[in-house]
Amino acid sequence: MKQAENGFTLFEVLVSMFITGVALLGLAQLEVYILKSSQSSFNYTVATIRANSFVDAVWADLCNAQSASTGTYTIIRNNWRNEISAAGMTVDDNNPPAAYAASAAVTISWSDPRFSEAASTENNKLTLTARFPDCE
Amino acid sequence: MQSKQLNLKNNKIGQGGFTLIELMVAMVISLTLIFACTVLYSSLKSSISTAQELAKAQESLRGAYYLLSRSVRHAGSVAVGTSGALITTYGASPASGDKIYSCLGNDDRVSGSTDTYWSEDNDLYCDDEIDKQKIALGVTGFTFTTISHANSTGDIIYDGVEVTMEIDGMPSSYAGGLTFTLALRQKVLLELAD
Repeated sequence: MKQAENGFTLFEVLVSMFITGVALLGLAQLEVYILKSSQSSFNYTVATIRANSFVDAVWADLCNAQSASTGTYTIIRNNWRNEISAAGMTVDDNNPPAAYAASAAVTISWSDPRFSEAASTENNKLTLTARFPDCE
Repeated sequence: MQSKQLNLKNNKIGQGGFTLIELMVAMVISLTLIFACTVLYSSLKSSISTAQELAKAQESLRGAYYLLSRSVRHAGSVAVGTSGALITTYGASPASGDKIYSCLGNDDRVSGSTDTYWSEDNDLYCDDEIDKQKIALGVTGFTFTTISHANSTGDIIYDGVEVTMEIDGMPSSYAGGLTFTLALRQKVLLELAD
């Protein structure tokens, strides 16, 4: 009877519980990571479409946008900048440039709150380079 | 062997089970584990379904944007069809050896061919005069306004189209849908070449 007790020691139980806990925490991390990446991927798609939207807005009125006297380019740029700001993304002051250029970069940045290490700053950025044909 | 036989004979030695305390402790530990697993599983499941919704919305958005932009950029003009359909008409046949693809991938586009896009039962359809097919799922809103100007003789010339798409599973910050501009680039280039 005295030697019949043959279970786990407290230490063994603690070690196994620790291992289980680490595994569960790993799963929880995985979950956070899945959400982060799918959200981030979606934002990149949307930012790409928005940057392309500016390029196409210039194309749609190309000849007027190219002559500085009409002010068309400034209107297109301001409208687009307001749209992006209203949507919660940040526009770059120099990309697209303030004045029409045949080769222009379009930069949009945004913050992803799920990436907690840099929650307050813009930690995602997209730059698109476009060329426009010359209009005589 | 010997002691076992002894045990069978002598019933006074009790059966070797768990004590109540041991049982309770074991149950508490296993219940805690089961509870932790359940909580984790359900939250994992919900976040996976959120991720899947986002992925589906993204797939529809990218697919629809790709096909729409290809049609509009190659087109010579755009028009509003019945019940809010977007009709893009090709203005010029491709140069010999080149091909222009329709929204459904047919490579027979010539001057005057059309691609028609419309939303029906939360899906986006395209008709390229040969076939009619679903091209994006979960499109709950598809509206557009054309961009145009009048030329010197007073004719309306279309320059582009501004499309707003609402898709199932988009994050709540996109409640009004996503709006983007597409230009009739091919038409602009042809005008420049003249």
